[in-house]
Amino acid sequence: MTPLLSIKNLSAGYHGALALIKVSLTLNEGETVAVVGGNGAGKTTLIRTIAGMVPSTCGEIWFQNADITQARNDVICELGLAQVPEGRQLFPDLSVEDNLNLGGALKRSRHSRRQNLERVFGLFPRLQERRRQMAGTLSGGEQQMVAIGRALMAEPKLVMMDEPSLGLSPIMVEMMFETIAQLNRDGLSILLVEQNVTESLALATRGYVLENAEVVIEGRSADLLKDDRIRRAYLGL
Amino acid sequence: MIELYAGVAINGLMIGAVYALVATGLNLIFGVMRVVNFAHGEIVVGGMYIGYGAWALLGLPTSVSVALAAIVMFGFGYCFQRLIGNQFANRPQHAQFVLYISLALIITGGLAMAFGPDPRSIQSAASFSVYKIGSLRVDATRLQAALSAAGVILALWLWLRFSLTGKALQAASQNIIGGRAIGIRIDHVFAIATGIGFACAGIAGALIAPLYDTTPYLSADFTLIAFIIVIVGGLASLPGAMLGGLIIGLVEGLAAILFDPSAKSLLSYGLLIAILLFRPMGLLGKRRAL
Amino acid sequence: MTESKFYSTTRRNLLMAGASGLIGSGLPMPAVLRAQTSALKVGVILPLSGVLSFPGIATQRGTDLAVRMFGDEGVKLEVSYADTESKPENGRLAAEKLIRDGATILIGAWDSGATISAAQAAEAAKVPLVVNVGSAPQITEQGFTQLFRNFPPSSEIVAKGVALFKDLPRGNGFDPKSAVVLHVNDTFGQATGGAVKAVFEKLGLGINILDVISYDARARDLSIEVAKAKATGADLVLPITRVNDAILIVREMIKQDYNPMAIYGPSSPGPYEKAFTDALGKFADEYMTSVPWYDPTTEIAKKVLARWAKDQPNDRFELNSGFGWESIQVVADAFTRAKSTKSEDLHAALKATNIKDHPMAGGPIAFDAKGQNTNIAIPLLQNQKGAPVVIAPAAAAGAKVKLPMTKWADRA
Repeated sequence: MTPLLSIKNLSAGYHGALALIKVSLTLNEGETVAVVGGNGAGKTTLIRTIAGMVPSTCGEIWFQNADITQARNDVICELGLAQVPEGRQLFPDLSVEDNLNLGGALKRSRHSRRQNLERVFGLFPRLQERRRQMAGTLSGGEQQMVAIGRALMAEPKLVMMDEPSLGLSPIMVEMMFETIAQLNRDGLSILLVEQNVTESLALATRGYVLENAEVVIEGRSADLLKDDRIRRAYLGL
Repeated sequence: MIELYAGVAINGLMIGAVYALVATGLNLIFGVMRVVNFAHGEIVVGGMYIGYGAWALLGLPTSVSVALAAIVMFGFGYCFQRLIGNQFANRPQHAQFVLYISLALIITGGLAMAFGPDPRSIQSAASFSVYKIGSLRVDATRLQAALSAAGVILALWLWLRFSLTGKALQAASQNIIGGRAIGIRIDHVFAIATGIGFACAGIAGALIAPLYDTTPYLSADFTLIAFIIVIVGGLASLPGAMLGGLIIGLVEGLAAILFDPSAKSLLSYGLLIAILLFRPMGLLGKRRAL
Repeated sequence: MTESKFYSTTRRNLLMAGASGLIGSGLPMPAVLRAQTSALKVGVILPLSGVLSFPGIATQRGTDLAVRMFGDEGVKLEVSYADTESKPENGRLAAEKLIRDGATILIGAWDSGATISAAQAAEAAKVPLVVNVGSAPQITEQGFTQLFRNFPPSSEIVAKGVALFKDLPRGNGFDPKSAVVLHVNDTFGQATGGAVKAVFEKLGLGINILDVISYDARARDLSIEVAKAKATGADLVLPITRVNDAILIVREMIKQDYNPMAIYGPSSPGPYEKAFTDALGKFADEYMTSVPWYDPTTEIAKKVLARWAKDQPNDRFELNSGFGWESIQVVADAFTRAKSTKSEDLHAALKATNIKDHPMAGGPIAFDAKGQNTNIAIPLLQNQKGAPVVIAPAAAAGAKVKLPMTKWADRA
């Protein structure tokens, strides 16, 4: 069976400062795949290049048997590839509901906007209470919920999440990962980019480690957790 | 004496409403795309010529020429942004500056070639009609222009708040990365913003065509006034543009009466400097860094 | 004397007629006419575009008419025009260009600022400059030796004009005690505005000038200036304008329902121009002005008007066209006497000018030591039924004055 997402030898960057060097990655339908690495390793560039926001310099990106390497960002979203961007990137002076509705405005999802909105509120009851509040006035955890909800409104097949736990309290972090696990159990494929190695590898079936724009280690999460290099570099053991 | 000041104040507010419409267009373009449209005054003058031309060649009333100006300028703005403006979106500021200045010069030159440099004025019986309110005489044409301008601003504000495309424009102005991330067609949104911005300027031009003599060289005045209003009222704030327009219109009128007609601009610029010093985000602008 | 002979005559016939002493049927020229071998290159500087294009083009029409009429008489003039675009600083550039292209005598430049600028170039190149229209007094006060002005300075226009205004009959509601001056804020406007105030005081009219309000030449909106004028409550409004601002001022007065006893603009362009009367229709009537004008009672004026009516039926012959015409008459006259195209010969001939028969009202055209023609008369004009008519002095009058002004609202 062909993978849902398949990246072959992808490079991207500007003027000799490459942020990705020959990265290859696959994700099968129903999987959660983790991409971990430190600051500046290239994780956000990876997400943005896949999403069509950053141009690639060489390599290929395939999603559902379609070559999306040169595709425009809105076309990629229409195909079912959604994003929870790093730092949330909400629209701070619009209401929670407006933020969510904008996420669902794509052709693939606009006719089911009402139902999708109900589902998001079901998943995040706190957002329903705050539906008319300006997104910029919410707490960090609530904003993350909006960001995830906004991506879900597009009825995606695959969601890329860029550091969803960043800046959240430990309780919120746990709740976040619980939600992500639940979404995966419900059938959503997830590409999870994180600095938090333990939690993300616990959730994922497989993982990739990015260092200095290159994939240095890859494998099943269980194996990675036992790997000495990872234990020393990222787990401080 | 009270009649004199009241008359001048009302006149100032009325023309201020039209200025506010011009500034609203500039504000929208800046708010959504972070681009300063240095050709904005030229678009206003283009609208004035549409107003004049519609009257001179076809005998159309102002209401029709305003609609015509709106359609023509929207189309022009949309196409300009899609074909040219969007290519400059990622280029440095000075490249964008050159682009818009070039557009301004091309428009001015084109209008001068097509219509000649001599002033064109609309002479109709309507030019003289006034509404009498007590002992006050209010110029009917100015009042109609002011009410129309206010109406357009209100309609635009409602559209931005309640329609999905309007919210997409707001979203793009608040967080462009977020917009791209969720698949908003940014090319299209930018083009709509420019189209609406140009349409505002064009409508304002068609509204003032019956009031002033149209020449190709009025544009610099309008661009400057729009800038002052946008800065005084608050960048990317629609109510700010309205407030700023009214204030500047009023200030210009009162300056002319209290000091000297040549002092009109003096007070406006003084106000601009004061705002920049003490409240740089503008009267209704938000503290959020734009 | 037959006008048909004048129109159908060929150059040769005229020479023969002149030789046989019937020169009186043609244009006033010195009795001896020798066929000139080369044409005189004349450079004419005018604002043909921009805010001053209306009067500039009117001057050009009069100039061209004279070139044609004198050409029919055998005077070979090769005229080139340079456009100042209504910018005073372009006067010098225009003059220099025309001189480079071979002009040995210049005419110009309508606007006082451009005239002074052109005079500097003419002085440097030692080329005579005949001023067609230009009223700033300083034009002849700067010591230009090459300059010959066939137009009165505004101080003189205002002084002579207001003197006639003073003699207008009071009564019937016309007894002004106060006035307000509105003037355009440029070289011409400031000079004339100041002159008006000074003359009103000097001649003791008993009319108090309450305020002098200036406005920017490029102003699009004069509502505040007119509101200020109205607030003074003055009986008389004295606007010193160009044609566009005159139209704006009257329109604002109508909108604000400001009905003074009279509107009188001494030495002011605008009210007598066709664009003004066309734009305002019945609202243009009864506006008064004192400007040099043609004397409709003279034979030569009638001749010129007749030819104008034939060639330019849709335009009005007014002071701009008139002085444009006379500027060519002065040049043609000097050329004929000098019998040379050299600038210094023309200069000497110009100094000796003494033309008795000319269309504009006043004594003979002659230039004093400063190059000024001091014999120009200043009739008092009033718009009536859509065109300016002379109402004073009585000898040249074509109609009776209508005062006080009919209220705007009462004009059918």
